[in-house]
This record gives sequence, C-alpha cells and structure tokens, in this order.
Amino acid sequence: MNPLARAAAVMLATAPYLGSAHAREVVTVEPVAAVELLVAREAFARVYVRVRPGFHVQANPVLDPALIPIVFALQPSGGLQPGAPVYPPAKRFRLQGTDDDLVVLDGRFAIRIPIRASADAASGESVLRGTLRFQACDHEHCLFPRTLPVDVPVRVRRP
Amino acid sequence: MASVAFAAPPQVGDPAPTFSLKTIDGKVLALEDLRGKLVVLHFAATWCPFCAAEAPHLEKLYREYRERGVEVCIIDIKEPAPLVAKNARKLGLSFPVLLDTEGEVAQRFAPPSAVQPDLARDEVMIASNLVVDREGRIRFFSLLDSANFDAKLVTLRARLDQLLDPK
Repeated sequence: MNPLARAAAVMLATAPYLGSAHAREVVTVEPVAAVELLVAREAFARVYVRVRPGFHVQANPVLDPALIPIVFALQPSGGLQPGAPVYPPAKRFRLQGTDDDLVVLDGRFAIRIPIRASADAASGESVLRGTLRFQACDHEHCLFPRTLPVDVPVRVRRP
Repeated sequence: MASVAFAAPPQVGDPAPTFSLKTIDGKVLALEDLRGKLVVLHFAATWCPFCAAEAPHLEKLYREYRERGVEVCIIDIKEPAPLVAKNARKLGLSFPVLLDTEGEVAQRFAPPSAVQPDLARDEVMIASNLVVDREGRIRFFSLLDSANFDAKLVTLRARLDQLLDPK
C-alpha cells in the first residue's frame, strides 16, 4: 500500500479511539501532513494535538519531575533522522489551596519535530512511526498516562 | 499481589472492603491490622499532581493525629515499588505506603459505576480520601474535585475531629 494511504488508514482505524467522547480518550491527534524533505536537508513535521475542553495535559518540561510530561517520540528509519521535538509554551495552572503551579497545555496545539534526510536517503514516500505519551486531568479526574500511535508521512526528493 | 475481600461498591456507612497489601518496605499490611484506629486512606499515583499537593498535608495530619489513634496510609495504584518508594522518600512520608499493583483494591473501593461512568473504576479513585472507623466502617469518602480542591484536607480533618470527639 502507498505509505501515505497507509498512514491515512491508520488514522481511520484509530479514529473511534482518538475521537471518542469517552473521558479516558480526551486527547486526539490530527492526521499529520506529509513532510517534504530534500536529501541532506531538514524540515519540520507538525503534529497537531487537541485536548478536550476542560482538560489539560502536563506540558514539556514539567516543573515537578514526578509528573509525566507530554512526549512525542519518532523512530528514525531509512536515512530519516528525527531531532528533538519542540513543544509549545506552557500555561500556568494553580492547584486550588496550594502555592504550587503546574505547567500545562490545553486546547489545540502543535508539536514541531525536525526531520533530517541523510544524503543517501531514498527518494519517495515513507512513514515514520511515532508515539504521543501524555497525562491528562480536568477539574474532577486525573487520568492514567496514555500513549497514542502517531504516523508521520514523509516525501523525500532530490534537488 | 493484593488480597481483597468484598463485593458491592461501598458507600459511607458500609464496611470497608478488607485488603492486605505489600508496603514499599516489603512488609504486608492489612486493613484488619489497623482495627481499633481511625484510618485515613488516600489513593494516589506518583504522577498525580493533586496527590503530590496533598502529600505534605497528609504527613502533617499524621503527625498531629497519630497520638489520638489515627493511622494514615497511601494506597498507590498500579506503579512499581521502586518508583513509589523513591517518591515517598522525596515527600518525606513517615506513614505506610501500600502498593496496589493491579488496581484491585482501588476497584473494590470505587463508587458505583453510575458515578463517573466513563472512567475505569481504579481511575476514579485517584486522589480520593476515605476515613475508616475503629469498627471498619467507612465514615468519609471524597473523590477528586479540583475545582474545589481541598489540598489542606480541611474537610477530612473536620470529619476526623467529629469522629474523635463525637458530641
């Protein structure tokens, strides 16, 4: 199957999970637009995440190392090397009755991931496999940490 | 592995589900071992920010109330012992921290499925607080409500005071 079509199929297959109204499935990832890469160059993938209204996820980095930050991890493959993700600026969230702040993300936001194609990377389409790990809370729930699969389609071409 | 005995979801006034769990020190502690004391149970996880915010206040409560026959226990849900032990040391907890590694005890204490029906039963219990009386009955039960978050355990302390000095 065409890698881009396969990525779309993955998104459709996981759509009930990603888009369910179930409180445990409060975070969804939009299908990732294909990253256009020239060999020996770098470009950014943008992974758009939606957090259900009322909920937030712990940002990256967190202030308290015991908390679980949102983490996007992308596997290298075939001359395609992901770099460190760039997370959006966090919001401060004060726990009522304490002097402690959390740093959180909510609503819709993008995580940017640099991807570099090596000089010997094959031209054409491929998909990098990734995961998004997060821990979400709202005003009356703190949910177990969860991990979602995320595919990043890539098109490599030579200049 | 947890040893648990109870069937229906418990309410305030019901007998608490009995349990026997390993502590982070490798000992085994049963609720039955604490019979004759007022027992504060706090269900927690190391990653839960509300649990972390409550922890120092639980320790303070323990130090202030233990001479009056109050025991405090944290029941950690579904986490490995080394992680939980490290966190307990960081927080300076001097009371027992129990390991509910499969979430069985949390499930048995969880309210009926009509309460927060879209959550797993062990998940509902994260950051909840209970008081079990000297005869083993539940006398206080609060779930997380961060919009009215009671980090300093004001309501729990008031209930303990009532139970210690019923007039």
